[in-house]
Order: sequence, then C-alpha cells, then structure tokens
Amino acid sequence: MCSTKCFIIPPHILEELAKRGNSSCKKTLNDTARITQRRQTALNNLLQREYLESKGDRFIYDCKNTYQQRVELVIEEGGDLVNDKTANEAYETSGFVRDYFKNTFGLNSIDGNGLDIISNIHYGQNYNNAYWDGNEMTYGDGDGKEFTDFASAIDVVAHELAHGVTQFLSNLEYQSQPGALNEHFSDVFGTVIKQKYLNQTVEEADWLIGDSVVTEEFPGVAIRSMKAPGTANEFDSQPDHMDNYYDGMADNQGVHINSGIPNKAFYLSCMELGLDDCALIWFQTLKALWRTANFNDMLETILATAQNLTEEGKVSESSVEVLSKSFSAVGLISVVV
Amino acid sequence: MWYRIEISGGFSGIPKIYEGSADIEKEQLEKIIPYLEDNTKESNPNLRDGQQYSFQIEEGTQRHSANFTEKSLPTELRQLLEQLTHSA
Ligand SMILES: [Zn+2]
Repeated sequence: MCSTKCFIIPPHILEELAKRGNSSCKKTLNDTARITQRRQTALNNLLQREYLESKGDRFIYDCKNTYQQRVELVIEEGGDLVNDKTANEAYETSGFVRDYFKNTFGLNSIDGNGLDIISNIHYGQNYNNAYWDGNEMTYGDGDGKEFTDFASAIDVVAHELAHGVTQFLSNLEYQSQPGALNEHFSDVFGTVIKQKYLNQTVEEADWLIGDSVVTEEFPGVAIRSMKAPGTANEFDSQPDHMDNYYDGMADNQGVHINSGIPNKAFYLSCMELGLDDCALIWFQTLKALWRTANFNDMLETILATAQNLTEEGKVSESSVEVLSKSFSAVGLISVVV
Repeated sequence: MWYRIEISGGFSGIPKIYEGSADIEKEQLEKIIPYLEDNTKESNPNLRDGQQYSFQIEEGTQRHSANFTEKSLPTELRQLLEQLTHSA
C-alpha cells in the first residue's frame, strides 16, 4: 500500500526513496508513469473503453513505403495471413513474444493490461531501422545493401516489444546509464526469446542481436554480440568492461554502446545458471528498478532480487554468487556486503 | 550543392555519414531551405531506437545546417535524403 504522502513528494525525492528500497514510493513512481501512459494511450485510441477492453490482440499495418504509420491494416488477430512474407512473419513473431511474456511471467501483453500489439511494416523507403514509439512498433525494410527486413527478425521484434515492457515496468529514462539499462533489457529479452523461438540451448545459441537483418555485404555478422561485445561488426564499439566505459554524448550518452557491459554480465550468468533462471531474475529486477536507476543500482537490485527468488526456491541456490561473479567480471562490484 | 548528412542512434546505434556533391535544381533547393531549421525537441518522450538526423548543406556562399529527431524530420528532407543516398 502506498501512503497518500507519496503523491505530494516531488518525483526526484520519490526516486531517491525508491533507490533506498522504499517500495511504496517506487510503486507510486511507477503508478504515476503508468497512469500517464494509459491516459496517453487512451487519448490515442480516442475511446478509453477501447483500451480497457484490449486483449493483447495483434494488428499489422502496412505503411506502403511511406513515412506514415497505420496506412493499411493487413492482418488482425485471428485473421487470415496475406500474400506478404513480412506481414505474416511480423504477425507470428509478435505473437510469439507476447505469448512468451504471458506464459513465462504472467504478463498480459506489453503493459500487463492487455495493450494491443500494433506493428507497422514497410515503413519508409530503404529505412534501416526499427523503433518503439511508446504505443506501437515500426519497422523498415532496410536498404537491401547492408540491412534487410527488420520486422521478420525475432530478436528485433522482441527487442522493440521489450522496450514497451520496460516503459510500463520501470520506465528507465533513455539516456546515459538508465538508457543503457533500457537497451540492455531489450537485448536480454531479444536474445532469450530468440533462443526459445529457435529452440536452442545457451551453448548452441550465437548470442548475436540482429544477425538476420544484416546482408552479406554488411561488414560484420550482426549488430551486437552479447557474448563478445565490440566484435559484431567493424563499427561495433560496445565495451565489455567498465574500464572501457563510453562517456561521450553521442547516442543519448551511449545507450546502445554501454549496454555491452551488462549484456556481457547477462551472457556470463546464463552460461552458469541457464536461460530460464536468468530470464526470471532479470524480469523481476526490471519490475523493481526505477526511472533513473544506474548500473550500480542494477547490481544491488539484481542481487536482492536473486536472493529473494532463491529463498522462494524459484532459482538456483548459486544465483547470488554467480551474479556477483558475472558483474564483477565486467567491472561492477557490489558495495553491499 | 555540397552536403553532409549524418544519421545516428536507431536500433543499430551505428552512425551513417553521407557526404558529397549533387546537382540539385535551384527550385528544389529553395523549397528545402526553409525546412533546414533545428527541430530536436523530442515530442515523444517514450520513443526508443529513434534515429537522429544532422544536415549540412552548402550552395555557393549559402550554408545551412539543422538537426532533427525521428519524429521531427520533415518529409521534404526525408525525400532529399532518399534522393541523395539511394538514387544511384
Ligand atoms: Zn533498443
């Protein structure tokens, strides 16, 4: 229960209290963010009733190579597939991601409240990107020279949809270390869901992100590597240790760069604890984090989360020790004894 | 016309720089110039993996530069970008 006092405390103080473990204030912060988001979504959908009755249904819109979203609805939940491979694959992969979160963590769609899952495909011309805009996903076809068909890649779809999940669970702001954590959680669920989709073990998996959206001509094998950050392509500048932390201003202060550090810790943890224990620990940690959480906050929170899950018998007894070791290997050492 | 266009951020986080010269009709250039005004105020705080766009254009003694977000980039500049980078 949150006391009414929380509502008159300025957000930055709420954040500090949340950081110190005050769950009431953490809840207030997140509720405030969720209420704001729901209001925005309701307005976007014009009728709030429409939002409240959502069941996490999928809607695939063809942008017809314009820069407009929702140009033509081509598939909706339960409808027939169409004569467009990208549309059919976007429908299938977004359903797989939705079902993974529902069946594994009991999360009802992106927001836990049945938000419709809207995908825009064939966005723009030669558009080399995919993004989450707070309400829906948008995918380009790629230029065919270096990048191709973002909507067909399970890890890209899971990555983008996970940005939505993060928005509703912890609302990590999109800059500096909270932003790198935001990117990290998207890569985590991108790779977890890719391994589930391909039915791979952690040993069989390639731990690459975006390997199927790069062409033969692209100078590299993927966009990122969680196993070996900084090696996926010739532009890849991701560090795998705090010693090489990027402190420049580009990319919202390195949100796609410094995510390599926790990504490597995730990979190391999975190799010892397995994918399912780590997925659960990371999901519960995401729920416990807050808007301004940094790497040290992440470490302290994940250790506390793992301890609780261990006591509940839900993850391996060695979890806390393995996580401490994995984060220490990337230069993040807990100060809490 | 000389141009330098940088696209950064996005899902890949890989910056792309396009630089060169192009023969652009004077009429088209005059239509584009009014759009070369900075618009980097992000109207959507929940946007994730959006790209940033930086334009520099020189024609004679005129120099123009402007920065945009994924959502603020005008269609006219998207078309110019497409024309300069993928018309070959
Ligand atoms: Zn992302």
